Amino acid sequence: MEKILKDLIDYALEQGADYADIRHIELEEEEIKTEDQEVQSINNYVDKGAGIRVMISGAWGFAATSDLDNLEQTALKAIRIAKASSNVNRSNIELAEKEVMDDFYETPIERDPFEVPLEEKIELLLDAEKKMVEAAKLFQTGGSLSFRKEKKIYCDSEDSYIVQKLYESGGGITAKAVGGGDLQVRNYPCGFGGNYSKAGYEFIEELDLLGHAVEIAREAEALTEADEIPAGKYDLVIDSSQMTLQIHESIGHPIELDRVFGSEAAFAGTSFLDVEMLGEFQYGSELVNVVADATCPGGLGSFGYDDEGVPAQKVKIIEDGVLQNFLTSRETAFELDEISGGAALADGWSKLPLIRMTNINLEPGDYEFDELIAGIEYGFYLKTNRSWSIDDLRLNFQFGCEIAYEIKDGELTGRIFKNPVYTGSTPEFWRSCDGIAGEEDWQLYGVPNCGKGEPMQSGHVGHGSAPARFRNVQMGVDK
Amino acid sequence: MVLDRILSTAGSLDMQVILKGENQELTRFAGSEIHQNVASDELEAEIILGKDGRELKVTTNDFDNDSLRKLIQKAGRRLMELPENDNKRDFISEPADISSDNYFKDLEREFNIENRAKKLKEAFSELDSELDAAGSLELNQNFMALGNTEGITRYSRLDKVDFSTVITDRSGATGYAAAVSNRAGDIKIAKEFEKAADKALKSREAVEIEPGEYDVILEPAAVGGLVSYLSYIGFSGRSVQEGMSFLTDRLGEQVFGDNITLIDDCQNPNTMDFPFDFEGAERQRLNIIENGVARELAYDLKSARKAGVETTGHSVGDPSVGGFPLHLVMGNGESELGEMIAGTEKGLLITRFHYINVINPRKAILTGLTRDGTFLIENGKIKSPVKNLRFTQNIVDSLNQVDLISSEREKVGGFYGYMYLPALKINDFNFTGVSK
Repeated sequence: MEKILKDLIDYALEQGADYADIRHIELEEEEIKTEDQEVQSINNYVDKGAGIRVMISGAWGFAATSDLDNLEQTALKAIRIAKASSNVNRSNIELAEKEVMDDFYETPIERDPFEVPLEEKIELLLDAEKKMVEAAKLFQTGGSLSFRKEKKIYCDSEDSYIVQKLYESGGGITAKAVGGGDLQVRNYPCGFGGNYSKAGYEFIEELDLLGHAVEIAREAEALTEADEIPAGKYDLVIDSSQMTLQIHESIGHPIELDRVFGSEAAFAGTSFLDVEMLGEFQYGSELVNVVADATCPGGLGSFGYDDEGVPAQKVKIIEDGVLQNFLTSRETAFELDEISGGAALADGWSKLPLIRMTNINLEPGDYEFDELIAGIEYGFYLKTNRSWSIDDLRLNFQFGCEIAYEIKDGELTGRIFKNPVYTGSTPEFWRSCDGIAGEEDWQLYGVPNCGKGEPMQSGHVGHGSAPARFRNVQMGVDK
Repeated sequence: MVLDRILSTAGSLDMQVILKGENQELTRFAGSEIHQNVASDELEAEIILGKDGRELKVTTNDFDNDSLRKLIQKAGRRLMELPENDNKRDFISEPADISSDNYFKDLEREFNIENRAKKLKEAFSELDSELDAAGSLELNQNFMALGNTEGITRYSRLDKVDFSTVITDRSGATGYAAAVSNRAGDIKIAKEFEKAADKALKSREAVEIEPGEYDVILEPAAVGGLVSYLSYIGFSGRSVQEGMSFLTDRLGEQVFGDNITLIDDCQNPNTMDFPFDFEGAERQRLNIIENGVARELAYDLKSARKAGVETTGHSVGDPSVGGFPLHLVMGNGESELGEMIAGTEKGLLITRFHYINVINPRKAILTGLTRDGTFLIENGKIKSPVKNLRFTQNIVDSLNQVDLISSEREKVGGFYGYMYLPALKINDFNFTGVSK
């Protein structure tokens, strides 16, 4: 394969490309879903193909094919596209320098998920469903597991040749209850298919789905009898799984430098940030420290190299509340006269690399979880994301959660509320953060469906956080 | 034929094969330059194997004989590891053949790599120097062939061009326009640029207004955002079975105002010609909402079996979705957009919505924001552009408060395919925040 790909790079250069890179990917996926204690679906997916990116006169062209006997024609198509683009454009793209790499990287795993018997996986989900059904009066139960193995070869005209073998595992369970004309849902460890990690089957075992089945079943049932929170401003403690979406939408997307430069203007929109704000802009309170860490063990956004052959890095994004860096590719880093932060990633062989989040993590603070709660006279502890929405500048956000636990006089009262929704404006919200729990409460969550770009690409990104406290947040806006 | 070759490996198993081919070419632009220009061609097969109620799916794009044989053998072994299941899905057995072919040579020629770049260059050059264009121009050519061990064959070829643009002026004001069609003559880039530029210029110096209830005039793209999500959360038989739909226990009842009619009709020339579903079932016309009354839901085989009805031919190949209407058409009214504005004492004209999501599916409460052209109307005239607002609204309530419906309808992109929708004037639409 190495010779075929290197010959193809040479062929692209002979045909007029100033620069070329190619990614050859073989992907294998397995997805298991159960519902109402029966197998709902078993899907296995195998896929391979190659994407070729060329630059001519400072303009990109990209073509991809699943027909691996047709690579030269695909390279010629990429060249034709780059030439067409260069006839239109006024400015030329330039790339930040990078080190030439010849390397192999593999996700560290303890148990290959594709070697675990199907029967064992199904039994886990059905056992978890059984526990839920036995614990509460439920309308529906479900579970899912998914696994992914990707062999990615990257090769470019600057002589880098990198092979990566990446593994992902994920899973979760769901309990739905009906009562009083209402339907309530609880998920563990989070909604939308559960939690995901760059890891082997050991991650599924560590999730302990069986150990959490009873709790979410009982909570789903209890929520059908719960009240909604009256509209108003409250102090909140937000758990790690909801912090994941909060970080994702209000920090992760705004710091994508291609978005800042307007690349996504017509689709999901731009960012309220600009490059003049670096080192100046008070994004959050002094407690807020955020990193983009592609080296984080188990993070869904972890890897050895990005899709431009740039090594995984840990980049400080927000330090003591002040914006310090963006997520960058080689093209955008050049504009800042910097090296790439290694965040150019594509959704498989058929897509062009874009700037994507790696693991955008809120670093742990000094508080005990109980101290966060103790600092609230009246407020709520919110858990598990249910919905998300943010404007086209990433400022005005609104999130829904599955459950809110009442806090009164510094203690959790045991009373729960349903359908909690909170809303705010990004900098105002992050500046209201006055407490972050410590390392012992810090958890990583994986988001396997981050949408960006046209054609739409689905990114696999991670977010780590401990529960955090925010003051005076608007809640209860739904009509 | 690849399809026949795969089906011949079934042996004693039940098998359905979907062969999907796609050639996608998309030219993306921002700052009035092409920044992403891509092409991909792919052929893949989704193979469903069944035996005694057990079922699994394998998907591959490796059609080498040896690879296929090994894949099917391994899948067959895994199939027999599954527990038996009483919910056996019988593959579709009739009619024997359905096919449709929408290949347009002029579409392929007019929107090839060089012509897409040429058309955009011309449009950029005619744009006011104060304005920047972003957007995408896509030529998509795809086909789907389906066969199963019951002996049916299905074939559909769908080609289309999809264009959208957001024009931005130096102050950051934006305007939007879009067009989608399988006829080359329908896509007029200069005209769409003009429309979006006009909106951007009119959006300069937007004022902030207080959130609250406003009468709104939603252009078809904005209606499309709401209808897409209503369909996603509520129009499938499965969403009702799961209790997640706002139509749960309400079939046969008046759920919307009697001026609202919504059908799913693949024969309508303004939707895409895709006459069968991902299980090979013939796509039925659905009266989802008839004069405000909830009538029919979309089913696939599994959800239909659970409900004790026949499939309506709305499978999208995912049993967790159930059925999904891909050809939504809303009944039109008699108003012109200008008349709708002229008849509004105080309200908002909304071009489109951004980042809609579901707050409560059972109550059809959605949230989202206005985008790319939002204007305050006072005394029947557009008074000024306004800063984007967040809505949080029960859409069932809103569709009971539709005051006027436009006579003209437009094709609007949905989750899959496209819909054909009018503009609506809705009273008392609830805005809960301002973007700032």
